[in-house]
Amino acid sequence: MKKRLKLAYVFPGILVLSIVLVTAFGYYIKVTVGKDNALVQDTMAVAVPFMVLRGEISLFEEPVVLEPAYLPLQREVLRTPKFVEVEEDFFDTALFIGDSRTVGFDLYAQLGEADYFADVGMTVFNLFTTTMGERELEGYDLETLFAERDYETIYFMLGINEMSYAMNSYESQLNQVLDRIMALEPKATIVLEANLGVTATKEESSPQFGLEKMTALNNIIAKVAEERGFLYIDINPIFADEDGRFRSDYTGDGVHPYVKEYQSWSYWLLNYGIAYDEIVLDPIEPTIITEETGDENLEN
Amino acid sequence: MVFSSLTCIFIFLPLMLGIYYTVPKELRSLILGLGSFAFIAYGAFSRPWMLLIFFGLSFVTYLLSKLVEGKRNILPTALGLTLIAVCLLGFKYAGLFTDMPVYFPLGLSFYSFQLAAYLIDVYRGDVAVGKLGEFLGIMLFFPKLISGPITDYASLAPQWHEKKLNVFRFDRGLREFTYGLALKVLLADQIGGLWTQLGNMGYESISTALAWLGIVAYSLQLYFDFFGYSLMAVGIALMLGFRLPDNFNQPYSATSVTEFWRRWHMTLGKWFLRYVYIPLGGSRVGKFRGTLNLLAVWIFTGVWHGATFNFIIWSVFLFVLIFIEKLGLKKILDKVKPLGHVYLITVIVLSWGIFALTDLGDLQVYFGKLFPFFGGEVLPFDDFFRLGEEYLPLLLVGVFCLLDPVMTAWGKLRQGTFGTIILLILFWLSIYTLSAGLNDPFLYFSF
Repeated sequence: MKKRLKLAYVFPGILVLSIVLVTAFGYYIKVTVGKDNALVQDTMAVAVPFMVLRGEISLFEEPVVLEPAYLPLQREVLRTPKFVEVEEDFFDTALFIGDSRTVGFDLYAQLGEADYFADVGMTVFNLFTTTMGERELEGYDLETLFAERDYETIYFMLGINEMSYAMNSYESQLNQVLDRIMALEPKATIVLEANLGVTATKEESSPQFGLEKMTALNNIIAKVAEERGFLYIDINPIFADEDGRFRSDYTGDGVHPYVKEYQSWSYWLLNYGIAYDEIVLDPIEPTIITEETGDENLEN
Repeated sequence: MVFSSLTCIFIFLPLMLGIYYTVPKELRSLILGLGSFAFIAYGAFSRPWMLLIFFGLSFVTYLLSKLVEGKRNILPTALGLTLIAVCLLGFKYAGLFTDMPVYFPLGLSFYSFQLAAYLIDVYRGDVAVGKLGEFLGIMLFFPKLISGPITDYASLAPQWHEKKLNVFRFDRGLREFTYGLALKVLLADQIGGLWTQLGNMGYESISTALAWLGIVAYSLQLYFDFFGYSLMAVGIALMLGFRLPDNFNQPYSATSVTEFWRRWHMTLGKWFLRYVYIPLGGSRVGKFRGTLNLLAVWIFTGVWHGATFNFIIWSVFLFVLIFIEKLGLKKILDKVKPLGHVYLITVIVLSWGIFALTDLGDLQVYFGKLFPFFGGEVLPFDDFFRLGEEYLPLLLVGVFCLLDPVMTAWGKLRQGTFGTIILLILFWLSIYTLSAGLNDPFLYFSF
């Protein structure tokens, strides 16, 4: 009987002790390396050590801060990208960067031989610390990917996962990651994509993704595109209901399009391939070379 | 508040249990009552009117039970039952008549059935009306509040007065809770991702093979979710000194639908038997009336489960199967066990398909995918191989956990050293999964 009594204490005893230890370790991280990390501060102490396991915070290294690495391009020929209708093979040299919606695009609407650097929960904050899982780019992080492969066009859609962050920190981080991408892949043309909204039902259950906030987010992306000279596209009008929200008959969960809608999305994207107007810098007689008309004098 | 949340596991339960075990014996009922109130209030935080529903219904039921007790007064009994039914059906069906969002108070389905049972038991003279505090404490006892097990007042009342607390019960309760948590978080929620993905893809775009894999996954998810949650409830109750009834007994090992429903959500089955089927006359009123009674029970079961028409189709489908089994099929299935297993798994998995698809258009499309030879479009099986590869290990673990010998062995080992080690690993794996937000197949906060 005494032995049974002792044994009955074992499981509760070890469990409680392990909880106390993990929680104490979590508190330690919170007050030391995680003291400036908002995510760590908002997380229950017992769950914080798991953030270390997941690589979301390091015990030994300073947090990675992306330094602006923008290098103005010095070219003899100025290339001005513009949208043109293209065939699917245009996307053979394209890279799509995004979150779970881009994962869905990869799975159900593959365009040519495009690459997809996309993951569930991807944000501008974890873009450069994410390594691809079990898909075509398995094992690649973005820096390695750019070192090994060249892309002519990069389609970039991130933002919905960042909607709980302050918008100015999103904008600042977006600019930083774009700087870094430009430095790593200077010849690529970057196309910023507006984030697809959510349905009215989804907005009711998760107001943080409401139309107003989504519009504000997309306005920031459009502003960055304009200020930085990137191209900008917006799928929302194609998928929106009369109120401007994601149509409920296009999605099962209010967030991710159905397979056939991904396919519609890919057909729509065929209108947004890239061609270039090239301006040869000639001090006497600058010339625009267009695909359709050939040489043209600027003065005309 | 759900049991499988970090808030419940690391804040609510430690506080609740800590205070409960520390205070003098005579204060435990009060602490339990306050704990249940806090549990409900937390869940109703954004919609406080839900508290009014729970407490309002409880007060009215209690007052009516005072009028009923000892007098077999049918009028207040009928009034109370009508009120409970109107409240339950009102919330369930309001969504059909308005475009406004209707928020269903979590646990109302279970709670209303327990109130109705109480009133009927008082009317029958099976239950004595106690003090209001005791009534509220027992009825709102938080471990069983949200998802059952549906527990009758008569079995809880003696336990309310004599809460048996000892380290053996605590240990066993904690093990039940941990095991239930693991089933819910590590199996149900993970396997559930497959069903969610099918919904996200759109049923029109899935292949026949994936459609079958999807309803198999849903069947496993549903079982481990509900079974896991029931175990957690039983475990918490044990730690508080209460014994709640079992809700599941290896249902997928049955060889007939009749047997399956004696092993699945057993407390609901008992409720219908006791308060609907037997009062209607059961099977003693002749074959025809008996069959009608059975149909009535199944229609009620369908209505209780949901407001959309698929639940009626589901319940009639089950009724038809049970009726055919009564005609003689069950004898064959019981004799030829392998046939019984294949039959049971096939029809039950199909029944869960009907259960899961609340939109009739989706239901039609999905069954067109399951049975494409009736004219549905046949798509390549690429999606099946892709998602099958991803989910196969989980599905196999799920099936492994259903096997009778495995469960028998686990039942024996659970209390020993091996069980202790396994449960500790399962606990921390569950917490890791919860902390990463991986338990939510809908990935509400991560796109």
